[in-house]
Amino acid sequence: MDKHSPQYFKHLALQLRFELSDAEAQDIANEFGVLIDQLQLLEAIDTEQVEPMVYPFDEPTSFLREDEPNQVLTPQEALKNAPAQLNGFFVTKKVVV
Amino acid sequence: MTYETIIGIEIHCELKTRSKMFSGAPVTYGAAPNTAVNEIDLGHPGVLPSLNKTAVEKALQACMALNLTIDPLVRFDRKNYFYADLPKGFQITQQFYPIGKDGWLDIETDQGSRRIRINRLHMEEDTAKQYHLEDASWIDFNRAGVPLVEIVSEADLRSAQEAMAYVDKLRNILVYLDVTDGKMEEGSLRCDINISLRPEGTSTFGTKTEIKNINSISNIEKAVASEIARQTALLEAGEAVEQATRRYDDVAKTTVMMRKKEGSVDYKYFPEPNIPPIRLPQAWIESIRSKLPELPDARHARYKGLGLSDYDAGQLIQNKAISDFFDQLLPLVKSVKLAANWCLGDILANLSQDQLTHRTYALCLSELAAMINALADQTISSKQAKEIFGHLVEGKGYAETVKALNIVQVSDTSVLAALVEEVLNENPQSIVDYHAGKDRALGFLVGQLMKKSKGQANPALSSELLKAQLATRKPQ
Repeated sequence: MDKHSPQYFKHLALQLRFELSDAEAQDIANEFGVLIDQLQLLEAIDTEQVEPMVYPFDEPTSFLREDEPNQVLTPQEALKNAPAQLNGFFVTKKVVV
Repeated sequence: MTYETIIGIEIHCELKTRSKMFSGAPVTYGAAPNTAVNEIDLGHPGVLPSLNKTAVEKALQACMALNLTIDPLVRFDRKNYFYADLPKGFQITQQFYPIGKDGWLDIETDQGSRRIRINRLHMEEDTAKQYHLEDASWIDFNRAGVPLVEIVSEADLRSAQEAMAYVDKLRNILVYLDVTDGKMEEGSLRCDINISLRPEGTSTFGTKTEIKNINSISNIEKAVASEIARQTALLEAGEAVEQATRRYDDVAKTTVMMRKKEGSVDYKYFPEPNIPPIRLPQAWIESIRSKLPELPDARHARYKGLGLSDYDAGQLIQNKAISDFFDQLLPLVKSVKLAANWCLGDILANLSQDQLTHRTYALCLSELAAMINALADQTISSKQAKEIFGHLVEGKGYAETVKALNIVQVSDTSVLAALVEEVLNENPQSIVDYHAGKDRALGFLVGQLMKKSKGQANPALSSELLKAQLATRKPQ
């Protein structure tokens, strides 16, 4: 399967469990084509002596949170977004992986 | 054909913290569903994780005890997958830079000590607990975000016994460190065991299966042994082992298929953007190292140094709560061996694990020590000690109990001498037997004397007096 082909995006969509029509997959593939072309321009830059950077700041922090329970939702608040609920549980369709 | 078994074990261990790995929600077990969650655990938009200091401290302690090299620059990654146990759509874990790597653990086997290499230890968050019903799944997010460490062994284990010894020892170390409560039955320590077979003498690995959901140490041995037998039978019959995840069925005494492995899932790991790298101060790491508690191996050696047998020392360290109890008793008693016997016998039998762990028993250490010392001095007999102990566990004092039970010990030589005289006169055959070298004769005579005294004669003194009298009554 070609990278960034419509089939590739359909495969990704399946893994992430959402529906993607053929037309949408084609749209995304086209957009990616443009993006990739633009990003390839960056390859002209010489990065030989440059360390890769993941975060915007070089300096690591040293912050660690003290182990104190300090924030808990009420079950009513916690379940507000539940698609369905019963006996305090979130209830979903049965999916066993 | 003979086969070699190759086993590697992954252990997930919940850390004993008060709050979660990345959120300030409380860590609970057995609470009502969804009562220990907050916006971070539920993956609400716009929330930011922050790392729990105690979780890191406990992960570091585990690394130190397992001889792992510590990476002081803590980094996290996202493991992306879509499933209802993970509301964010990803798990925060340490894929690329585990906090500890390249360690080892020595286990005792029938063939002596074996060193099992540990590939890595990394921190991550637990997922929600799901209950799959007939037509729906119920989800409780209380467990989502609970701090975990995953400890991955190299494929160095070769038998069911070794697999069990490895998990047992690892679990005991983690319990000694107070890193976890290590309860397999409650899922706070879970192991995934990878097993494959290959013909003896070959070097390529066979197809492996993974066993999950083992709820006790003893079931590890049973599960692995049954899986080895199953795979051996397949290979012997010329069939292939199917790569799959299986679970152990305690009733059927065999592993059963949970799901087939269809290729490997691409988790699209990438560095967690919401947690910048965290540099752990070296001084903090060293202060944790300097405060590591005594570990089971060291305690075992210390007990042997006190004169306990390898077996007794091993039995004691196996249970941290009883071992701690024994340690408290030690400075108070005259006989280490008697104290160990009582700890491993009547005390374990009379106090529940929960009482021992939380020290909620009525038994007073100094009163117990008084009884053990009286026994050591032979002021009381073992039979009397057992009777007294029954009262001590209810919180009674030693002196008070002895008085109430009317346990008096006759150590008056003139009284005892009269009884010795009587016993010898009544048992002439035993005198002959004694001089003929039959050891049991003396025991019998002491028994007769105890009977006459209604159990109140000092047994040690009685025995001495009997021996002295017997020497004067040598048959012609």
